[in-house]
Amino acid sequence: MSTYLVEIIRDTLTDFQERVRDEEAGASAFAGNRVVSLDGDLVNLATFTTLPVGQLPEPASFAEVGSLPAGATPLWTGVVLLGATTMAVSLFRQA
Amino acid sequence: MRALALVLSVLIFGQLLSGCGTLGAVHGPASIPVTAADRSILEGASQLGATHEKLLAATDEAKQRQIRDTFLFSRLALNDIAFIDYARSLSGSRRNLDSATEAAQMTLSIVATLTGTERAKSNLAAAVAGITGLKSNVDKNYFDNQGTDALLSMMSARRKEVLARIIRSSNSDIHGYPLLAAKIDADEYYQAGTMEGAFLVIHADASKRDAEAQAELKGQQLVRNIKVNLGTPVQAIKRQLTLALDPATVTLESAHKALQALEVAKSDLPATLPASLEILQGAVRNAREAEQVKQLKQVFVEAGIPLK
Repeated sequence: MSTYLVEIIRDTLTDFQERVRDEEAGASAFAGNRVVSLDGDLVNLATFTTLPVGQLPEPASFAEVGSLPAGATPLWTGVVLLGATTMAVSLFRQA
Repeated sequence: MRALALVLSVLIFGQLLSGCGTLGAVHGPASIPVTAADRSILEGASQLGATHEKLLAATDEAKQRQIRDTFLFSRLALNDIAFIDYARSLSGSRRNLDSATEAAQMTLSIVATLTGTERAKSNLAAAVAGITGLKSNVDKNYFDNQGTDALLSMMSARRKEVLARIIRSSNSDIHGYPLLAAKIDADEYYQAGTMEGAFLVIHADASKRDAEAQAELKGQQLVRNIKVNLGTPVQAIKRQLTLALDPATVTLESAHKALQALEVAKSDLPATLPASLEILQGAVRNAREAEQVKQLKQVFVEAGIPLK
């Protein structure tokens, strides 16, 4: 297993989530995100871990901190940049 | 009393979350006004000494936790109220900064005139020069070059990082997250939203983050931004392609056929099935645009790789 970085620029949390799901469809798993300055612009830099051939994680879902559905376990909590604003979110997965 | 404290905690926490929602609110409608009575309650509940005494008197663990949380959330709420005003003043106009600087210069100059000793005069003169220099530094580095929005976004990101940690920590009991740790976190939350923090922490942090990002890029693959998501149907195909790479159902021959269709030279074909599937998985992973995914599906079908 190895890790790689994905630059994600999106305006909504739904679009951010779908971009993560697109990436995970290729046998990868979201490991975290940081808002960084890259080439002079603030962007999301998400880290993904490659999974063994043929393996898919349960679909990734993101919710704003404090709005996690009942029973959902946060697997990662951090900040994402959406448009010109930031949002504290948690990742959870439901089978 | 317990019910009152609980209601207070909920109200404060709600205000905290709404205040931290987005910086977009800075340009939106005015925030909920805070009355003098509200502020008085928050300030009273955020006193460290009084809270410590209450904590020592409380024997019940749930009560201790409630006392800590009321203290913590009161401090955070007061910080939020101040930060919203501050963000408004920053984003409103550079005139706010100019006025504040001029006022400070005038005050210090008057004090220097009234102070007798030469030593005091030189110290105050240095302070005036420092403020003037600070202002030009702010103007040059942030307001002219980077823009206030970028600065505020980074400040907001830093505050939310701390907030996320505080919320996680506050799930612990008083032993796992003692009052002192809560106070230190509240101080860090405040620091993350100050201009001093912008100078000493945020700018340095942005540079560090940039440097870290650049260092990571040297050793790690970077996928640049893809403008359009795949969409649900194509995302489902991509998942289907990954699931198809099962050594129980794919033969070495079909894997080789697919690899050759992807322009892998015959001499470079791996000798084993797992190694061949590894390369095909890489091809699926790198298919990040809808057309690429559809073409890959065609390759799999023509090579005889069964889709699941």
